[in-house]
Amino acid sequence: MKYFLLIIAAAIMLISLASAASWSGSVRTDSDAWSIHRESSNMSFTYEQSVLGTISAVDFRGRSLSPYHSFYEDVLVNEVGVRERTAALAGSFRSEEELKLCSSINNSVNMTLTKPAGSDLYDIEFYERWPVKLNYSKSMQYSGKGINNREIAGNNRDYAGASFLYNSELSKERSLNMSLERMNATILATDEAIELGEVQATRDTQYKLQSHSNGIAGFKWRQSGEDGSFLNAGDERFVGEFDINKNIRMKSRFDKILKEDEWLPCCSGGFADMNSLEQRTLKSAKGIFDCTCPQY
Amino acid sequence: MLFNGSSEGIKLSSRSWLATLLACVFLVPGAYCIEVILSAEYGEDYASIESEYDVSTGVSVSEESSASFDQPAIESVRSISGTGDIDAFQSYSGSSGYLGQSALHAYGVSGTFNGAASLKPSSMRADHSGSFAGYSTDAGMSLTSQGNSVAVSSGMTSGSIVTSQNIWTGSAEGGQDTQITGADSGYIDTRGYVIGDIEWTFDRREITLGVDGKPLGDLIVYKTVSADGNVTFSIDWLPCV
Repeated sequence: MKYFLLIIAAAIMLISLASAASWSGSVRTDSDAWSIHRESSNMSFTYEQSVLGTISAVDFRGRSLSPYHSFYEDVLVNEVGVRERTAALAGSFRSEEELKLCSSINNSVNMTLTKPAGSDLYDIEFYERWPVKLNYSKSMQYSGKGINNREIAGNNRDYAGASFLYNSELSKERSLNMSLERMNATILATDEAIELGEVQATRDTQYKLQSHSNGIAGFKWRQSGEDGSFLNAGDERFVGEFDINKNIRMKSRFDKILKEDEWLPCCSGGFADMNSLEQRTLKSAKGIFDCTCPQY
Repeated sequence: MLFNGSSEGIKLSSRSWLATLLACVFLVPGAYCIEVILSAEYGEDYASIESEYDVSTGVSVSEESSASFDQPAIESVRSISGTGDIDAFQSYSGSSGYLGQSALHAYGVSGTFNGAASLKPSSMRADHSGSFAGYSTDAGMSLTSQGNSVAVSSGMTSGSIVTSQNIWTGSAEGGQDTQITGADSGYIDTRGYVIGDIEWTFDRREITLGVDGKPLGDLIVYKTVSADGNVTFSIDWLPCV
């Protein structure tokens, strides 16, 4: 059966954050500055769509409208989000997708500042528990003159994305599961300078993709560390006809620990009780347990 | 209104002298300090708290703030204690336009200082109290809200001071209870709409001025010791016009 359906409507999904809550934290010293801004809301969002048809020309008031399909999607809550763009010329097109998103701001955001007597070091912590959960599955099949499709999923500095350009044949099935549990930021600073600034978001991203393409296929992913540097990353490009399966899982978990400055903390309280700057100096818990504390 | 608390003559302080004094109390520490800001927003509403500290190594500082978002609100408590120099400044702001400040400047002292603040977009309350002995201490709070303002401050040199000060919105209200003991010089300044008692104690001499929640205008008590050792107590009351 032949379908003569012109898909001219662009599917646009925008999560409006007009009434969203946000918080900002900043630390400034004589020579440095550090800041963070977070935004979220109490919300849930569900999106389901099924499309089957042929992208073809349509006569309209004596003119012929060119066959075209476009798709634009932006979803972003508390640095958990997905972006996708699709543009396709004449051809057969099928897609199915289901997106579920929920977020919460019921918990308070806390800030603590501590400077013990005998030290010039301030330990400042911001702690947020604004969870986000995003599950998104999508399948797409196209055959025709040409299609471009790009998507990227990001979760608090981690991301995974794919692009398919100049394909006359494209099929893909993608499932995306992302969650953000909490975030804490630690800043160690003196009056003069910031010694350490770390953002620790406890998060999980799973990106699965099966694709067949005959144009240019590109893939990028990155998992970030506490200071923003990358822990692992990838960048791939395939030109030609390829079947590609991917399964990327990026999970970062940070358990908040009580930080105290004490006399010889490595001996009296153990590695876990030391503040981040001292932990960094000692590198690891190895060698701490015999209480030799070589750095002292 | 003038009060002669000694055998010496009466002095009336000038507004310019007092303005300079208050400016010193609320002066933001400019160099070698750390500044921390937490702000909470929900739509058009916000509340924000900003803290600045410049303290000696021998002084400990602790602050905990919590922001909630059903309507943006910030609760904050802090404590400072130890021996040395302390410059501690905190400011409070909300989307209704209020601006509050808490300031402590203490040099060569030993003591403790505690503060608490509760902020909402359209209202706030902040309290702080301190007890210091040593070379010099200046403590003050001020609030401007809905076109009204209140300022409370006190200070001393070479003595001890126990002070409890607070500010809160309605329009703009504040108060303080302050005792200064054995100081070479000091002042207790309350201006605007104030509630509370003002006490001055020095060498067993006590002056108590009651301010019963009425807008009396500007009220200042201070003592100076001249180079030749003469002691002068002065009270400057500038009634509401």
